[in-house]
Amino acid sequence: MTADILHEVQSIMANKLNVPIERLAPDTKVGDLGAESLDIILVIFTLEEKFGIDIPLRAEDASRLGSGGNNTESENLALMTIAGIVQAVKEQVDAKAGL
Amino acid sequence: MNRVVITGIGIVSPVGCTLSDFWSALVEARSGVGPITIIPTEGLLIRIAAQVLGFDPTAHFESRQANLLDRFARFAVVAARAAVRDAELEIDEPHALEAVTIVGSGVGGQVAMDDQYYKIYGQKHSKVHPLTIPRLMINAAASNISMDLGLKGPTYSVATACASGTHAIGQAFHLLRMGQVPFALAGGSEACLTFGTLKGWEALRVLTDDACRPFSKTRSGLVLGEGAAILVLETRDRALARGARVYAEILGFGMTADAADLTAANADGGARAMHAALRDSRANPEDIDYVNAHGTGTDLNDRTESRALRQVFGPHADRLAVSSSKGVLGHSLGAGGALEIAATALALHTQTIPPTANFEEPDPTCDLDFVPNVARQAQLRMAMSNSFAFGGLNAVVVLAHA
Repeated sequence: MTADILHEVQSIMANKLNVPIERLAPDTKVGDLGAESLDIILVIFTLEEKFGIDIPLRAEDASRLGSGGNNTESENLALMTIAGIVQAVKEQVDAKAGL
Repeated sequence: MNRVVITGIGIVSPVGCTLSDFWSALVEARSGVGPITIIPTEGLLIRIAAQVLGFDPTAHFESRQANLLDRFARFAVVAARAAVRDAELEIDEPHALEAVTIVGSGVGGQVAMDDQYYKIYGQKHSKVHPLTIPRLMINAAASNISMDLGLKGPTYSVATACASGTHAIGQAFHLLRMGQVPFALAGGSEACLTFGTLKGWEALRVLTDDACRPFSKTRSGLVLGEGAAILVLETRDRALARGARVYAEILGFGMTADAADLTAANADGGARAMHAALRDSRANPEDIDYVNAHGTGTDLNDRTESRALRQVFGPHADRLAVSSSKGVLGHSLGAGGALEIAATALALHTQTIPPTANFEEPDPTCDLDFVPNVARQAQLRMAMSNSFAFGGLNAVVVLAHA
């Protein structure tokens, strides 16, 4: 399941952020991909639609995650890396399935 | 060049539709934010807003006219009539032919759009109301003011999202200053609290679900509002000749674009607009005693605006009083700038700084004097009002005590 989610996250991010999928390793930081706050909100929205889930994210956290913000401020944010995003999706998918 | 003054103010706001209700709520930091009651909230995640409650169209319009107008145009016409009354302005035919009407709105007739589109998409009706288009058009506010009051000069709307009202007043000011027109009605109007618009704002993830706390460390986002403010602007010579009461003089107007991010505030663009307004006013940063900030209550806006203010005012920033009216009024998009210029004019007129409501805790990234929660008497010579819009559009007006 996690591998499927990873693949989905990678393909959505490659598409929305216009970066080659090879750059999207699990430990890649979102802030290093040139994503702005609005790009991150779009990626998360697309994942929500795809999986039928809700992922908590405030715009200010999106701006901290993005390259527009200061990366050091995002150390505690769960969605900082691709693996973090995959984990957030998995948690919501599991919750939805009642796991 | 003519000097230009504000001689009338008409208000429709979440804290009342008279000048005294509006001003006393701002001075007392009494918030107009509350649970949404004007539309059903089922399906909404965020259920608070600054609503204009108890607005009864039948008190202002006969049924045929009411039927022509969306809520945002009703607000605009009611505010315009109030402004003309407040200014004790006689609109005679030769002057009406030249009178200017410029009204800002961010999103126009959203109530008409939401209701009618729900009929066709949601309820599968085959028709919408025949007045859907004239109700939703964004120039409906300016057009209906012109028709209601018989104003026949340059009339148009300005749509620059959250800076619309400020751009409208700034443009009217420049027309008057150039000496082309005798008086103007200018301001902004917005009625954006519809299910569709609220869902759109939810999706941007910038709304808070408890309170708007501009510049406070505990701020958690913005609260949408609605309302209208229309000002009567006149050349100073004309106002003095007819013995009009003057709230404040408009000294200058500056506008810039960030040409950067679509939604994120940009310190450089905001700072350039403030510099432009100061240049247009032939004023120095040290001349400004008070800034009515854009201050939305989002982390990014308030941090960025604080930085822009430091950039423009340098060491004088430490002597500057800054407050945001959005804790009280919410963020009424295209009406916001006009309501805030009205507040800034009243601050100069009464020599009272309206405080920043809901201020709980200072934030090291917003290190200015935000006049927390309690109004302050002060000698105010000049004041500035900032509006920074989505799309990276900035508008700043400088007013002076008159």
